Amino acid sequence: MQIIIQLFISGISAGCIYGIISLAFTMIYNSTKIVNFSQGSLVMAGAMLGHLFLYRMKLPGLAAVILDIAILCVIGLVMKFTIYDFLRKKNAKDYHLVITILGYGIVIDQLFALFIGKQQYSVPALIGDGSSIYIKALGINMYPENLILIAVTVALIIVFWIFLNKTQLGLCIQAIGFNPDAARLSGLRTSMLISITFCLSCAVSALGGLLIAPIMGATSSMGASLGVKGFAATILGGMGNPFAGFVGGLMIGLIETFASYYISSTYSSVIAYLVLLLMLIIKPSGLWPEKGDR
Amino acid sequence: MLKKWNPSHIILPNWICAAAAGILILYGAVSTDIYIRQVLSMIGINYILAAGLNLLFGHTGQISIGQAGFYALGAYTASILETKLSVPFFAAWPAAVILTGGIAFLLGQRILKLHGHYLAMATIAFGMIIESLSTNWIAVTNGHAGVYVRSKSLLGDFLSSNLFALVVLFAALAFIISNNIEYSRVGRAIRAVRENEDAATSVGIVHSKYKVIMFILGAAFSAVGGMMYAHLNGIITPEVFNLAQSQTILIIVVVGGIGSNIGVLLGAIVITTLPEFLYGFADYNILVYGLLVILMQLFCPRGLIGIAESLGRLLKKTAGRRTPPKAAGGK
Repeated sequence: MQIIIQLFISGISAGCIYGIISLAFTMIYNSTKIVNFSQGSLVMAGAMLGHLFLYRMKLPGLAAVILDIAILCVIGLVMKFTIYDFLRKKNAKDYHLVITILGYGIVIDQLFALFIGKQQYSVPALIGDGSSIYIKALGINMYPENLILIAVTVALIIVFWIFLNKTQLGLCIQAIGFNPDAARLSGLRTSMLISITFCLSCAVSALGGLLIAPIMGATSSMGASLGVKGFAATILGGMGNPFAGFVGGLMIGLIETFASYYISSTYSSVIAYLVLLLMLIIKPSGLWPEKGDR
Repeated sequence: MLKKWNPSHIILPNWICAAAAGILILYGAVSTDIYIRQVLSMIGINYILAAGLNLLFGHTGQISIGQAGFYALGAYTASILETKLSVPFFAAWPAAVILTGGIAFLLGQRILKLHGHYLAMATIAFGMIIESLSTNWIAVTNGHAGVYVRSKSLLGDFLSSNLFALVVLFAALAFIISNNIEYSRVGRAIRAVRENEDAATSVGIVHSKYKVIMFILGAAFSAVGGMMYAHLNGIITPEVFNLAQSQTILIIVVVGGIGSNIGVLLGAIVITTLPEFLYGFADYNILVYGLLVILMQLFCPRGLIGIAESLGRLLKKTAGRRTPPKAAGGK
């Protein structure tokens, strides 16, 4: 029983990682219908910058978070201007967008590998003195990093739900996703709002990177698998619904953790990819499809 | 101007291609420079891989970022059959191609119903599954230690010392097959599917059939590339068949020119030889690829062949400007 609870907790915390990535995915997808294939690389960038600021430069936590988010926002804005403004205006086809985004993923990965390094780096936790003493409760070991991750993820999801559904800005962003032309005709500054969306998505990625890094370290090559698993979470939950993506992330995290304990630890990531592939084959619209979807 | 002038529209007679391949083979046989042979073989292998993707992506419009999965399937199947089960190569190679094609058939039937981003993700997932399997299924693939392929004892002296010629031959074959498909009924059908699936369906083109056929062909090409790579290199390890490899194959097609056979050949030459020029900056290699892809997409989405084409048009224009005054002067 203790083992099951233990696995459940680590599954939930893994799931929160995928949930955060899925949230960042759906932010951009909802307003532009662009799938950001370099999302994993952005999370990697967040984690590597966390190593740079917190470990090498020994900046205080808050300053590191702000700098991390600011740098990722700049990357996000560059992506937005090239992909959304430049390519969309030239009526580029879908695959041009896909390839450009892949190009950005490669460039981001390589830049961080070249300027920070190719090894696996440790990143201290944002809160606490950095010593990873685990908390024992009811015979279950819990690391504070995992608890922080879970708490921040839940908070993020709630904040974003309120932001998207209860504030004017959030409703405007949703309106662009629903019908960009109608949104523009009714006086919304779509380009500006989409810049804000990209920044928000990048901020979420930065936070995600900072939260994941204390648990799994930071390497320049971790982007691809994180991105694909985050997308798996999104597909499992349903595209266009950030909260379904969070639930999808939790499911993937739990499946992966339990499978790696009960079946085989070497194949745990294969299982996540298989879930993605099977879901795409059987029901690509997800378990909780977006409204108005085919 | 219904038809724009495009170098790829000139049907290179297949015998020219055959002659070029023959010259290359002769050159390889005469020259003892191992370095040049190695670079030429890698160009050949990369071309075979990219030509396969070009059939699927360039001509049919279906993106795949999992070609390295098929590359790995071909390489591993052939080498495991030959080294562990001691099947002779003339049986093992067709078996590898058929197995890869079969898997492509089963997978393609299901995932080619997806569009755009979804298809891209499905193929990425496939590639990553194959990569994970080749890393972790140690009983069969030896994991990171890799499978040793001793070409000399497997293929005999003559074939193993002339593997380079074999690669060029297969590359020429890939070129001829691509060209023949492009100018056939099938080629017109798949281009119709690429431009507008619904319109193609309305004139009676069963798009799912053509998509699956091209998916299988692309996979079979990749399998041939994989077999060649395994025998040339002597060892195969999972790192060769990772997501970055799939991306490189896509980059070759994109940089060369989507949907153009000559363009893809150009792309294979440029992308394969680029690291040789960046020698000493080996770390910057992939960064340069990435930047190249972004810049290409932003400023010349039709790739190197697009640049060649606009240069040709420019030449034509300047030539055209010069001729009329002469004609006027003659009168």
